[in-house]
Amino acid sequence: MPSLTQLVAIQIAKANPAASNEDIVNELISVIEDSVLPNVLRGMKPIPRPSITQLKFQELMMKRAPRRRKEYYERLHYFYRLANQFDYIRAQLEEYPLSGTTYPLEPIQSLSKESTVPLFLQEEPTSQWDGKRSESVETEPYKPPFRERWHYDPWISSEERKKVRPEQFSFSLLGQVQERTVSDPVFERIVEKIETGVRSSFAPSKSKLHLQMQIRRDQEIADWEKLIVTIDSEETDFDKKMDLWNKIDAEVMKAIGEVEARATPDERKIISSIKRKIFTDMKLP
Amino acid sequence: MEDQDVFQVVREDIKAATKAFEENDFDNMNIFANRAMANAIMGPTPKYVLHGFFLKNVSMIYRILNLRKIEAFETAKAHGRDYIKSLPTYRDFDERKAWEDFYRFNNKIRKFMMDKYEENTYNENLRFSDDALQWMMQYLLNNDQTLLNPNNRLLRGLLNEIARIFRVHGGSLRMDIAASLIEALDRCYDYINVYKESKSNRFEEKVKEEIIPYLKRIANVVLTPKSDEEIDISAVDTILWELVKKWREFFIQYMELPRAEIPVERAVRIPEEAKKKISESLTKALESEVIPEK
Repeated sequence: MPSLTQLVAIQIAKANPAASNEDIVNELISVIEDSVLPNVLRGMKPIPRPSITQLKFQELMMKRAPRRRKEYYERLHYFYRLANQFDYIRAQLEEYPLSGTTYPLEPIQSLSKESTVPLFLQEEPTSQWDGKRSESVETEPYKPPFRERWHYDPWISSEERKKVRPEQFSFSLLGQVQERTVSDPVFERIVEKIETGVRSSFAPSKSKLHLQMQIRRDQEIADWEKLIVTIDSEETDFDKKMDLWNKIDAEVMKAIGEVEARATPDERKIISSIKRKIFTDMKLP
Repeated sequence: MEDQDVFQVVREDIKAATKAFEENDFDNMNIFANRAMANAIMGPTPKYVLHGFFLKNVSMIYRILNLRKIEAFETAKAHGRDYIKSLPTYRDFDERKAWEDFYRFNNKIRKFMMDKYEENTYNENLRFSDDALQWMMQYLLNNDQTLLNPNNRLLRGLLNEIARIFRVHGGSLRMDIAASLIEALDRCYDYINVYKESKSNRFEEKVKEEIIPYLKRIANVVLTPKSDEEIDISAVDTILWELVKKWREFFIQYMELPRAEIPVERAVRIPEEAKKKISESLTKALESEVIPEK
């Protein structure tokens, strides 16, 4: 018995005898992507999941859990990732145009032994995670086993979560940088170029990255002034962090170079002084 | 209503709008700006309507920039933040300075509104912009009867041209004022469309009564002065206040107008692995020529 999609494909093939099978398949996939899936996803209720606090608690509980529960954890881990992906796609559907862009839709992987991803689990007979209903995991909402016992509300409501945009990258101008950006056109061009450069290179990254531009002064030395680009990355690997720092530093210098290349001789003097003052700084734990 | 009470609530509206701006919540910022205008028309001072009107424009600019996801968004936002900070928070403010600050902000932000082709191609040409404004105002006066056709988009079309020319070639304070007044007039005109459906056909009557007289007044206030410095700002504020008053009163009567929206569909890309499986299944069906049962 052919599926509904197969039947549609066959009908299209009959109506368009000149079209190749490949054309029909590609066109159908486009229709599914452009018209069917967005509506299906919009119509679905967000998948409930625990808050970060609860996840952390369950992660700690996991450390003492017996080995036989491993399969169970994997299932929960799978579900957690699924809920994340669902939220991410929904947020993009509501906030961003996705056409022509790619998003980090990773295959859902099983839990590795080294994983530090927070897990959530406390087995109890009333939980729907007792294995009996595991087939319907994608469609039935997860009920927190100990919800009544928490002193705080561990749940982020679905409506609230729908509004949350997955902001992985941020760039901000602090205090005097903000003031100088609006009052000094050369400085503004530099800030604009730096923001454009770092955003286009690093915003698509999957890990969180926050950049802040600020001016630091020394109260005791009147002339001492530094323009600092502070990098705050969630990257935990030291070498990767250093690599990221180097790349951002190069991007900042490249941006200044680009402004300098188009500057007048007078503007170049200002740019040289900024070049001497600007530094990048990586926040380290 | 006491003048000071009106200004006090307008000040609170500005505060709320500023908070929404900081959170990139431009829809709510727009709501607070509307609220500031609605509060201002309940009092006797025309210039108090400026805060809400300007903030609404700011919210619309940043809403667009945010949706476009421009890469220099924070740099652009620095200008907005600076402008909002400059909004007068005392009652006896200088209305000319308020317009000039708004104009300066628009002039600074326009480069962020340009696309990459415009940015690298067009130069400032204030003489052309000024001539174009004269032409457009004259065109509006000569074609005022077009407004009697319920399907026309004359005001919106002119606004589109003025905004484009201001964006790519720059413009004067009077151009900014003309755009602001036509925009306020267009918002009232939007509401007059509700009379299209009335049995007595009051649409024409309402346009003649409520819209057309303003065309000459706007043209006069914008074109008569020889320079920006000679513009009669309090006359500008009076026209703006009257139009905003009409518009907010229409809102009280008819609430939000249903607008025709062009649906922007967003695709959901199927992961390659799943796509491969669907392709295989469909190709298999097509190759085996499965005939559906009747």
